[in-house]
Amino acid sequence: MSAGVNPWRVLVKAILLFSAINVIFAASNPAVGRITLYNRLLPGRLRFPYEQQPMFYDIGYNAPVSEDFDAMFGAHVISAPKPADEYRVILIGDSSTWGTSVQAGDTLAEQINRLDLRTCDGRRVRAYNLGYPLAFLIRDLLVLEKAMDYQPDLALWLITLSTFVPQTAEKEFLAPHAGRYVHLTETYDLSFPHLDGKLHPPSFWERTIIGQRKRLKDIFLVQAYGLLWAATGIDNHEGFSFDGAPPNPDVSSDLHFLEFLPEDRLTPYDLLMLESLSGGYGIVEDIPLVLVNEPIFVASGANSDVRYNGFYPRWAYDGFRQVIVEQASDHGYRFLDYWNSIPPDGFADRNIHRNPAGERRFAELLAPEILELSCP
Amino acid sequence: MGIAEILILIGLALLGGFFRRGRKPILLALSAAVIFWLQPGNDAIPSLAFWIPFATLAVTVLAWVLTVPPEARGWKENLPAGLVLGAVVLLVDLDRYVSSIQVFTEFLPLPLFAGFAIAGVFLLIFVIGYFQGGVRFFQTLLLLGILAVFVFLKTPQLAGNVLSAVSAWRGRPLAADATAALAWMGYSYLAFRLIHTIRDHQTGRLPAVDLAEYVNYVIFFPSFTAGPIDRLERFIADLRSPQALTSEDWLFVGKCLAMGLFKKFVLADLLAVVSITDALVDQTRTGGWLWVLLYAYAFRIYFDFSGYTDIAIGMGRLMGIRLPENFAAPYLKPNLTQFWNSWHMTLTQWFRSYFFNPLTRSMRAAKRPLPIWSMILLSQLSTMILIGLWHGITWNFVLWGGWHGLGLFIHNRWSDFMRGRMPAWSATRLGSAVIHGAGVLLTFHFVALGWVFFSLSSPGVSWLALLKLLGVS
Repeated sequence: MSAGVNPWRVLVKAILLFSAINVIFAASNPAVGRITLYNRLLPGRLRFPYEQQPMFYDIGYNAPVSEDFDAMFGAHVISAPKPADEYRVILIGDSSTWGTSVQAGDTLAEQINRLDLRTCDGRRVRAYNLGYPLAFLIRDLLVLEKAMDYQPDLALWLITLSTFVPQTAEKEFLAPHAGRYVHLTETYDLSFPHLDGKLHPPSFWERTIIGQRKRLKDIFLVQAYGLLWAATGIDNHEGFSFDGAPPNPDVSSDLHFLEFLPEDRLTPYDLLMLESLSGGYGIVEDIPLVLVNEPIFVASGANSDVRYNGFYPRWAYDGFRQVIVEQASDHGYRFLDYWNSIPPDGFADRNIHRNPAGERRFAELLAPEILELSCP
Repeated sequence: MGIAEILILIGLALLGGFFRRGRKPILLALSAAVIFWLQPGNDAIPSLAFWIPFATLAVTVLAWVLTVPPEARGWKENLPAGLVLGAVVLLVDLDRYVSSIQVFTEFLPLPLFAGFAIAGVFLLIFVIGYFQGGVRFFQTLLLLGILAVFVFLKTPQLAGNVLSAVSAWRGRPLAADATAALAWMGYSYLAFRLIHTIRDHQTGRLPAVDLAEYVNYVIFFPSFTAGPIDRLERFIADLRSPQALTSEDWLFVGKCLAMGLFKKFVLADLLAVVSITDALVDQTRTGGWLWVLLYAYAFRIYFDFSGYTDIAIGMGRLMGIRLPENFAAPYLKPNLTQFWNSWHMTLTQWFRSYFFNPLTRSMRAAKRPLPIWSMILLSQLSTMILIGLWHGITWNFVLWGGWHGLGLFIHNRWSDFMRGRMPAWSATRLGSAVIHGAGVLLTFHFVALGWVFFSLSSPGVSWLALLKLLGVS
């Protein structure tokens, strides 16, 4: 070691350098999420990275990068260049679109791809799974807006009652996207009163490397997990939990839907419906956007006269369908209602999550609609 | 240990390094407190979080009593260390009454029972020390006890079953997700140090040290949980001559800590997510990808372990103790013998001193010595299998040890065979570089294949992994 080096000066210089890098990072706000190994060294993921309970030393296949849309989309196969002969269909939605109970290769989007559909002008239909677990309406809008950068030809927005209910977890998800949220609401003249004053752009400190350490760590981790994705084709251990047994046809007699009871008639205003639907159509502009009421498990056993399934009591879901049908009709939205189109043995649970056979059946139902829309 | 614990330990090391007067009792107090702090809890017998570190201290004091020569036994020089240890134990026990600063476990034994037990243990140690005539007997007993506890701890199912049975006997059956495994923080390294001092005492090589020096050596907190394994005579030389840290020392410390933290918490943790596991052996689509996951494991274990060592060495230097290096670019070594001279060096040196050399000497001294090659095979194989078993008593660790033992034997025989037979081109610069490079690659892949046994849970899974790696399935 060289003599005459003063360690305190080294320390002071290191602190100054680190501080300067932090300040520059915070001031320039670099899009670190765009740096990705996916679609270059590693195959792009078929759905967004998501892990219910991310683990470190135990087996895991993912790191959640929902704080950074660039990283989410960058890891997705949709970021690969669009082939000239591709008719690109994007699927926006919640956990049932993402495919909580199935592996990445068996989701609705991949089942559509397996049908090998061709448009009337010969283009190959390629569906992209842009769903993300948990039903967040505003998240759907943000994803849809970002997805427009990837040249979709058709957008299918898979909705269900839960999509339209304000949720407490929404704020946590949206906090890192406050800037995008503000842009969305201002551009499309949207208003979500339950979030008024609750989302703020990150402070200077929060934009530093120290403030962003979790996001940065997750971005690095999701690159590392890309090796596992390439090696196994598995992206989530939740998909292993489905044992193939049909769900129990019995449901509880509880009348609650979240905190609501039958006397709380759900109006379009309660459900944030007016804002979001118009926002979605504003985002896509000339590209066809189809609202798809996704299939739900319809129980046939005990208490099935009261509830459809674990999520929805009949009063709430029937009310929702009535409202959404009216809304679609009034505003001329293209609306496909598949709420009871999948039999119970197509579900992995008593809610909305389909098994591979259910995904396949649903894809077959959607295929003619996609082909019709692709051939004006 | 997480980064928060490591940073706290670095802070304590910095604090310990400030004192040159009264250094021994201060370092002793810090180390004793740290071993209580680091000991993980146990659902079966919660009070073990207290009793296990206490047992560490008690067995260390006992080992000192059994190895200290009469000239170093004086009350005057040893009483302060005894008082420090007593004060730490008392502090830990009293901590539960201060709920706002619960540093140690809240599951502590009842004070009266604890008091009697502690007094009883130290009375016993005193009595054993008083009757010096039976030292050899008690030393042997202690060595056997250390090994017996080692076997118990390294057989997780045995320890788990015993704890579950104890828990059920106490009328509190364990929940399915309870921590039944018995973890004795730092026991492996504790055992190495105690055996080293007892054996050296028996062979007349142990220097005379006082209680503070001995306990400081055994439980020195930077190296307590993950080594390196220092030697007593070297350790006390540093302890006895406190020096102010020079600029070079500070730069060395900074480099060690920065590199250690980076290796452990960036490289190792990143590689951990893509390292080979039982499940991935089945799920990986091709043998090529399984190689990638195996490489990840190979580098993960290196960065993890050498990162911890760097941190320990840095913390040690902060307190004026020059802990020995444990790794010297092992994956760049051109043969397996050199690999084992540069991987976990202090462990291999320990086994060489206390097992390999005595075994070889005894085989050579036998009335009818075995052929040289069989002595080499036996000594290499048994040493490496013992090193394997040190990691855990499972068939996979036996296989891992056997793999390396055979590898060392084959390398030894090959080197012997090739002596004087190397072609002329191998002496050229290019030839030498090619042979060196090929040796590095071959050695690394031999070691990497060995990690299959180390990282996976059973011989069956390891066999499947090997078949897949070799493209057979």
